[in-house]
Order: sequence, then structure tokens, then C-alpha cells
Amino acid sequence: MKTTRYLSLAMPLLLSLTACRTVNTTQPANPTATRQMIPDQRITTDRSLDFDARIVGVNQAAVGSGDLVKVQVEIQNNSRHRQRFNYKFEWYDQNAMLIQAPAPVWIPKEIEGRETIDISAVAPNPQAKDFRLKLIE
Amino acid sequence: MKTKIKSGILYTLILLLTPILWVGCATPPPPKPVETKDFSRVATILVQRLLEKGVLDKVANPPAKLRFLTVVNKTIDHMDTSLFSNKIEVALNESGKVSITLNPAMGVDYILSGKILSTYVPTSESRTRTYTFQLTLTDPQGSAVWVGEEEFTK
Repeated sequence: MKTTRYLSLAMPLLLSLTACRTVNTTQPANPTATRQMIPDQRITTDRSLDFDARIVGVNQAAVGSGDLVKVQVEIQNNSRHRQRFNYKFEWYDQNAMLIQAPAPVWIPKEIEGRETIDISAVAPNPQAKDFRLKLIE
Repeated sequence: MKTKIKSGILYTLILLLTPILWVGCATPPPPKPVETKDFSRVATILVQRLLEKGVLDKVANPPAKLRFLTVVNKTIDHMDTSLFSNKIEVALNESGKVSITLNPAMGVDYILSGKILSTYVPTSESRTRTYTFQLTLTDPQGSAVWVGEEEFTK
């Protein structure tokens, strides 16, 4: 009877272990590019998502003819399993008013176990000065 | 006692394997159709890439005069491509970097055109379709100055 109990416990565990797939990464120890990191403020309501898709840092640059802001956010999956999430960038003008057109859209993304990815967005127009990034599972 | 253990193992195996067999026998669901939110997402991404390149700023008298030709649907699905074109037009117009003209006789700086393609690879597990949205910006002489592409699977 004990064997049956062990077997019924071990099988799902083995199945769940085979589902894990993690990413090995290599990058230059001394990168040529310099990132302009900006201080950020975070509000975390989903701790599980914060673990599976954690924001490591935010860097910003001017693109186009130098009048558009580009934001790049580094996201790391601290778990061993693949995580799906959706993200959305909202843009604000210099008076902190939300830029409504084009309407901000949710973009689906997948991140493998222990993988680090970058998500980015370009301001919709030169009036967009600040941004807010939202993540949802 | 031995028979009891054997039947226990058999029972557990049946319990574990039945859902796997069910999954194997089930007909995979058909691919989901392309929705308005897909058009919005792809339009946002492609316009962001176009703005990032800064090609629209390289005109003598900004904003760049642009003529938007049709987006050709080369898939077997019925799609109202004007929904996609409108999203592109709104995003470009809001950027303040282009002035869209509908008059073909007017001189323009750039011509924008689009194409939607799809590939369908049915497997035993899924029946998914991959859509490729392409946008090409050309100058009046016909040289492509920017090409953007975005893919997604439904």
C-alpha cells in the first residue's frame, strides 16, 4: 500500500519537474554600451508575478531625431518555469496628462525560466515625457 | 496483500494516464481569428519602430507628406484591413511627424504600403496560424527606405 502512495506522490512531481526549462545566458563582462538607467518607483500588488517577471532596471534614451523618448525595461524570471504576462506602456505629457491616442495596448510576452529579457517602447510623440509600465499575468 | 498492491498500482496508473489519453484523442481547436486588439498591438509596435528610425524627420519641410496605400490581405482569412490601416493612420497622425494625404496627384515625400501574410502548420496538438504584418515605406522613386515586420501566432 505504501508503494502505491509513494508512486502516486512521485509521478506528478516527476511530471512537473520535466516541465521546467531554464535559459543559460552569456554576455560580455565589460559591455561596450553604457546604459542610462533611471530611478523608478514601483507598486507591487501581485507578488507571484513580481517573482516570475521582476523588473531589474529601466533605461532611457532619445531616438528618432532626438525628440522621442525610448524606454527599455529589463525583466528577469526568477522561477524555473515559463511565465506568460502582458505589459502596457502609458505615456504622459509634461503636465502629467495621459496621452490617449493612440490608445495604450496590452502586449503579450513570454519569458522562460531564469531568462532575462528587455521590453521597450517608443513615445508616441515628442510631447510624451513620462511613462508608466503596467504588468499583468 | 500482493494482489492488493498490484491493483493499487494499476489504479494509480489508470488515474494518471487517462487525462493524457484524453488529450491525445481530442481534436485540436481551430485557430482563433485575428481580432481588433491584434491590429492595435501590431500597429502600435510597427509605428514605434518607424518613429524610432527617424526616417520621417529626414524631409526638407516637416511634417513628411505621406500617402498610405492599401494593406493587402494575402491570407485565406477574411479581414477588414481598414481596421489595421486606421490604427496605423491614427498613430502616425498623433506622432505629429506626418501629414497624410489622400490625393495621389499631390507631391508626397513617402508612400506607405502594407501586406498581411499567414502560414498554417497543423500538428496533432494544435492548429495554429502565424500571421506576418509587413509595412514598407518607399520614397517617390520607389526605393524602400524602411521595412517593418511583426509576427504573432493565433
